[in-house]
Amino acid sequence: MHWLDWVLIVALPVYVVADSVRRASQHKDLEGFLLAGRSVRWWAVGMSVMATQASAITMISIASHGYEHGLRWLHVYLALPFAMVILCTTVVPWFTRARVFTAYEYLERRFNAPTRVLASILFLISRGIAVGTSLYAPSIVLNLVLGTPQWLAILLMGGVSAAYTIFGGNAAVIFTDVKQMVVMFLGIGCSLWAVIAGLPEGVGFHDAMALAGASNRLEAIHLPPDVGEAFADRYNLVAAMVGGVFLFLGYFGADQSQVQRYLASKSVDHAKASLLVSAFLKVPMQFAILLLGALIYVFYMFTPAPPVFRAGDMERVAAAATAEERAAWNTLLQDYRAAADRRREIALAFVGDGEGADPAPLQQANERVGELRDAALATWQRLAQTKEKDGDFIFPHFFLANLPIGILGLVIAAIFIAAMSSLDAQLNSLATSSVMDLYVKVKPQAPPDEILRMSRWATLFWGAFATVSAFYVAELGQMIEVVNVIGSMFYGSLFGVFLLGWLCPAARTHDGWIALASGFAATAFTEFVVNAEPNHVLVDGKLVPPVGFLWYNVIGCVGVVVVGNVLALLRRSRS
Amino acid sequence: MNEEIDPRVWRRIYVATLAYGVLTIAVLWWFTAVFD
Repeated sequence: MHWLDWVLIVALPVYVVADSVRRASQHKDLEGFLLAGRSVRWWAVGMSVMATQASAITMISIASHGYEHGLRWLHVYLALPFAMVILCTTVVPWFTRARVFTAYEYLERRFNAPTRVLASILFLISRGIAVGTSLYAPSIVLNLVLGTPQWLAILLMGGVSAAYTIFGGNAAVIFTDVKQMVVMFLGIGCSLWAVIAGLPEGVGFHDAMALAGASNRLEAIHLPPDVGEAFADRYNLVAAMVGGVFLFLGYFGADQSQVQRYLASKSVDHAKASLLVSAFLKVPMQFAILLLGALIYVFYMFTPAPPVFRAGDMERVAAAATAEERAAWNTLLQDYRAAADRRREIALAFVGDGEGADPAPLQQANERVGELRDAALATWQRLAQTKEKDGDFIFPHFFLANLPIGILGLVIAAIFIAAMSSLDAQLNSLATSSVMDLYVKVKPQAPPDEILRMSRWATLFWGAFATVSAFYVAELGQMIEVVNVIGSMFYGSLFGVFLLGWLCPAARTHDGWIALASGFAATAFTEFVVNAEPNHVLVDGKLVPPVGFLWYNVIGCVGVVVVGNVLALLRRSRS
Repeated sequence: MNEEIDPRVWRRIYVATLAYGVLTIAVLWWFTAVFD
């Protein structure tokens, strides 16, 4: 790698962290540490809200998702503008005016202390599980660039993020996030330019779009043909509009990692405007990243690609295998290369035919290449004795081999900064909820100095927790899906208990935590019983769970509201 | 944005946001029909 790339990789993150800590130094008291003194302007909070959601996974995993599945992932974000308007008219004014430190403080005022504590514990579990994934994604890049062991990369990123969050608090988090988004937008733009510029002569942007479309990579809107598919297919318009609204109401309205961003706003108007930044920018940003993945798929029709994107690992594993296994692997490799060569010829013929070209031969060639890639991946998993996949390695493999000097350094720096700025917000919110919702409940007479000190210790604890859990997330599947499935199991129920508080005045005291526990139990039942492997159904030729993860948000939320209302009715009939 | 914004202005902003959401879906629908 060129020295200029190295300079960018080191200098950009160092500048971002140093400048953010410097800006945060004026916030020394408890409110300053946890909420940046409630003094931040809307555009900075808005960027921070986006950056908290846009981790390194966003760039690595979503681009790779676009390569494998096209634009379908975009469905997840379609409901965002609608959810943000609901939040701006409900929870945002209440939280901001009430001057709470955590979202769950409301639950104690509305129901009772056990409801607040249970909500906080559910948040800590869900965010605690997801936090490790923020570290795993950049460790892939460092592993590919330097050959650095992933454990070392995880330790390095976790250590740096925890250190500046401990010293700078929420202000450092927000100022890091603003810079992250600028670098990230630059990285996405440059990568798009590089993939289009890397296409062979005679294949332009319009041809690439036609090839991606013929390869089923440009389906941004999918209408389910029947009710069964609306539930089972993870990405369709019905699930997106119903499940998606509940997902974002829960994520932005009841997840402390997001609520804490807009609690730092200097007024209610600033808080509301900050959420609308995501409403307008999130879908275009995700579209650009997914399109990048789809275009990388087209790029590899013309440029040789390994069947498994963990090529270095594959060679090492094949070298250690028996002679028979090596021979089988070499045969598979030859078949794959022949199929890829054949597909290149078909793709060139498709471009040469212009409009009205028959997509069927290209689709058959894609299918053949896909089958051989699946076989190669299965062989690698068997030989390496792992369940890990290579989905998250696709985008890193592309940019390491194809980005020009300077842009490569910028993109890698963007991934590192994205990892840190997503992790810092999570550590900050986990520490805040641990201390304000649990520690202060146990020790209500604790002075502000002690609470501030405990918040720093809690940040250190969660930093260590994130680092350790990052070692175990690789086997869960493609990162971006893992994070959203875990989140969806909790967000619906968490938002449901807030909704219960507003919609049902008769629900009070213990109704809150019983309803919350019931909603979460309903979601867990769906995940572990209804969606168990024997119940899987066939969608698009693949066996999938009968209930897609976006629906978990609806099940959890509706479960809490229904149980809460029933409890209130029972009490009324008894009295 | 130091003074509080008139609620009527906020209502217009909300309507614009909702319209943007609907328009986004319409454009993506068109995009899918043309390219996929």
